[in-house]
Amino acid sequence: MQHDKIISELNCKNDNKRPKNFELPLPQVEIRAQNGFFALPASADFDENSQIDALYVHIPFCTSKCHYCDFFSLAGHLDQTDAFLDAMGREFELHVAHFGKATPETIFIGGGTPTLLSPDALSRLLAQINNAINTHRLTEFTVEANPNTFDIQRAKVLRDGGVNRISFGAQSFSITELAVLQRDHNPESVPIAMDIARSVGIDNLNLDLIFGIPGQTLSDWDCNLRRAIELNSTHLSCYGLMYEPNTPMTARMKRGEFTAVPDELQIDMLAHTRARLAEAGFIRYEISNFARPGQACRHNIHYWKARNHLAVGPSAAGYHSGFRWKNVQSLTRYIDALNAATPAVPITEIEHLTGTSRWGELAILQLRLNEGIVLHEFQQRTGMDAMAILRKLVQKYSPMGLLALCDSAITLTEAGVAVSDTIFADVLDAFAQCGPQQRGS
Amino acid sequence: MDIRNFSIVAHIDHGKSTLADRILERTGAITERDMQAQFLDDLDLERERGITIKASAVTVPYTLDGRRYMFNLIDTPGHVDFHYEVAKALQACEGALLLVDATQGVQAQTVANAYAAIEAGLEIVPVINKIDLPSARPEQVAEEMEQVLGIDALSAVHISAKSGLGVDELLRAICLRLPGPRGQTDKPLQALIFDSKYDDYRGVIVYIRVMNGKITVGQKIRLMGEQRVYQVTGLGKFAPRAVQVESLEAGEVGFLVANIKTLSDVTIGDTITDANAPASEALPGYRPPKQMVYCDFYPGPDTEYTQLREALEKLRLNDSSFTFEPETSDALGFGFRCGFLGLLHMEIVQERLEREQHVQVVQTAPTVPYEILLNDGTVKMIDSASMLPDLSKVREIREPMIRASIIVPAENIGDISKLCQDRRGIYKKTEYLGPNRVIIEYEMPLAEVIFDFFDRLKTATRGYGTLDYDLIGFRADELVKMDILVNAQAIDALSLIVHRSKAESRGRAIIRKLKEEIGKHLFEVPLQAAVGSRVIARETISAMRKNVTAKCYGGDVSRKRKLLEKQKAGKKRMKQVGQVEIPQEAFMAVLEPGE
Repeated sequence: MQHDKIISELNCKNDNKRPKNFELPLPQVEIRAQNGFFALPASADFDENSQIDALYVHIPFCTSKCHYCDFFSLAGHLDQTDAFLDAMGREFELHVAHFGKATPETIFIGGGTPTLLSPDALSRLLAQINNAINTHRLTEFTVEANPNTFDIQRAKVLRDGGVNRISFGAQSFSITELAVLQRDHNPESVPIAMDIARSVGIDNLNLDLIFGIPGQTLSDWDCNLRRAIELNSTHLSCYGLMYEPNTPMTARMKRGEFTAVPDELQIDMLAHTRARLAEAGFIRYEISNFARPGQACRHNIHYWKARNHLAVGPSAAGYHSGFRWKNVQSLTRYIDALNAATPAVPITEIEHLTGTSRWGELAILQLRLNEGIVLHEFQQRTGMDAMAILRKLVQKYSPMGLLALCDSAITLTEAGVAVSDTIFADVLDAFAQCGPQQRGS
Repeated sequence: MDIRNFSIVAHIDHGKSTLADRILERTGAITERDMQAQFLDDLDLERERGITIKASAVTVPYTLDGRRYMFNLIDTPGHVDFHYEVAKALQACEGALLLVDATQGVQAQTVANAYAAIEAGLEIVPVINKIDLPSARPEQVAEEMEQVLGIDALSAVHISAKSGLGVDELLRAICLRLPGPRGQTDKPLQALIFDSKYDDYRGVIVYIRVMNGKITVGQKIRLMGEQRVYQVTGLGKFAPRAVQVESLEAGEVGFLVANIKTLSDVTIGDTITDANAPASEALPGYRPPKQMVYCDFYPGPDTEYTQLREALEKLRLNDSSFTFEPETSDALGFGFRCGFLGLLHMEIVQERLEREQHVQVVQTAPTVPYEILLNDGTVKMIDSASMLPDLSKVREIREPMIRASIIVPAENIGDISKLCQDRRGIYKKTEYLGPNRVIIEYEMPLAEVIFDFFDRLKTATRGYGTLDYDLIGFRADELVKMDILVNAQAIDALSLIVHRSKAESRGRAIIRKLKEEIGKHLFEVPLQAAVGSRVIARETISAMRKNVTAKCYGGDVSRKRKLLEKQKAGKKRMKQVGQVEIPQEAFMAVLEPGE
């Protein structure tokens, strides 16, 4: 019987904080700590024949902090760009030393607002990235951009650095709605930014949109969708507004500054999005993601298929063979750790998922995707019979119209998507509970 | 040596334990140094709640004017649930110190205890305590005592148990005003069991008062009520530390050990006699403990059924007045049906389980026992609605009735009358204790009192109201069984017996509470309250339509997964009934007040 090892927060010395179900001794996976940080997981513990498919780079700078955002970002601090890039350069070196030169299929630079960096800084960043990897397999290289801080110089720098996809944080085309979100851009900057990208030859473009903004009606949302469709991007990410803990948005709601859009309306918006975008030729391939045929974001699909990815930058999370680790969520500590005499990747959280925990997580990630859990693929990868494990849930949820079993895959229905977290909790539990006969080899 | 057997009786918090400490200190039985404050209360819980759960007795010598006395101070429980125990402790005495707080005056349990002492034929010394407090009004309090209890106001001893003021005068009164025991040592042995405790090393320790005859170590004795025979292996007194003695004679108080394994083998109020030369009759007033409040205990989230059973068994070693039997509920699984002397007793047992035995329990709403008169004339006792036989066979359902004595400020008479009438009370009488306070008597169904009556009384009187009650028997009324259905399935643990006139409002209140407690499911969950096949209240929990994480990328996965695991762990603590998950709090919904 295998047990999951979860070690989180190095600075948490209290063993009592561990989950209660640790009754048996943990398997000995050595995770050494150095300089107060965890070490990268050892390659001896990796899956056989595994490769690194993706690279994520986190740029923590922003002009201001959007009120709904719970990503790690800092307003200002651009004066630290050089020190930051020095540190990131060291992190790449440490990664190369540890993993060898990775050959990712996709790269994603997110933030923060990566395009807030000056063209020179961007250029330096891209050079560091290209130095640290083999590029022959690279097919998708995305950078997140704020339409306001995107210009022709930056566009050229990005193109020259190999970037072929840009994700614009449009969020909304209504000034009122943007104000509610405390976004600083003018909606008219979106088409301009898109034109600039196209003008340098980058035409694989995504727009991020948010629905369920306080005060928004279904027809308001429809206006946004129509405008997005007009702009003819290849990809749309449409997120229902989430009230993340510790964000100003959540605090403002609790203070009664506004009321959240009712659940019923959010669900109507979700369904409307799918229908409206389907008409316009977009296929939903994930709960919040829509793409023209062949234009799905390969990088994000790597996440949802739990494929190995490296991650650099403060707060960035990497994954390999069931290990998931996360860098320190502090620009200063990140820079200090990597610019120290003995530099270290400043990992503050690491967990090692094995057995049913690892594959249960894969199952819920796969269910986010339209293709769902493809049973034979799942069996091949995990040695587990997902159907046997999930049979009871399928029997429970398919008559309710929430789960579907078709073409040898288990998928969420439209109604199932709306309550997917409830179903996911049951899926995780089904994996946690499953007996050895269902676990396969 | 002259013996004085006496108790201190008082309303809660009027200073009984402090006075007991002071008496022990003044008689030199304990020094200040080795005195834990309030020596007689030996359970944490008792000290915390300021009440004494179990009686115990302490023997101390005292000399007054060259004459030697032996005081046996017998402690009594101070709460409505322990009437019988109080009566038995008083039966072991010749006198009682009736202690009243000079700032609070006569309260419900002052009256109840005073009557109990009068009924037991005791000589009463009224004592007014806390006279050194600025808000003390001793003269008024003495007048109240005279008016309500017919006790001579001038005879009251004024003290401050805390500072020791007046305590010497009180000790003198104990010697001079209380009578000595009248038993005869040459008669056949009759010893009253007025308390018992369990000791890990010695087994059961039985507190006795020898009324007649003599008991000696090695003697073969018979418990007249239980019809059990034992050999006395040890006798002693608490002075206040245990001291061994060879014999106890008529008039003396002490303890005996006799290789008695469990507390349930000994019943308070039973008479001990010599097995070979028995007394012709037992002492009066013996009855086995009667459980008047029942509820279920089910194992909580981190507790196993067997752990709970062991905990209950251990607790019962110390408290034989509660009962437990295995119970199975469709909704809650395996647990125990427990019987208690009263509501407070139930709370104490639950807290002791959690605090001393470290188990978690899910407790269902308390109910009372019912007498069921069947068509064939037989009478059956049931202690839960689910035990109710087929109604076509039932002629009458009878419920336990109490006589409630409520002392309140005069200005609250109207509120209290309304409260009692709402609770199907039958008015008996009102008497003035003084210009501002009254004692009101009502006959009420016990079921109406165990259901948030105390809280209502306290609220209505801003904390000044006090209550005491006596059981007066069972009475038939228009009682019906109400079922609670969740998703069309009746939940056995929630069904209850209720008066027809109250069914609708109670049903509505319960359903409303359930609606708050039961979370949204992926489908609509109808909630209904029904009497027979007639639905009298209904609500619907609408289906959950949205529970979705919009963004879940590389860095989010662990956190989101942990949230889902937590969500699931929360559900594990719920009880699954059909497809519906019901949180344990919902099973207390029956306690919610009606309209």
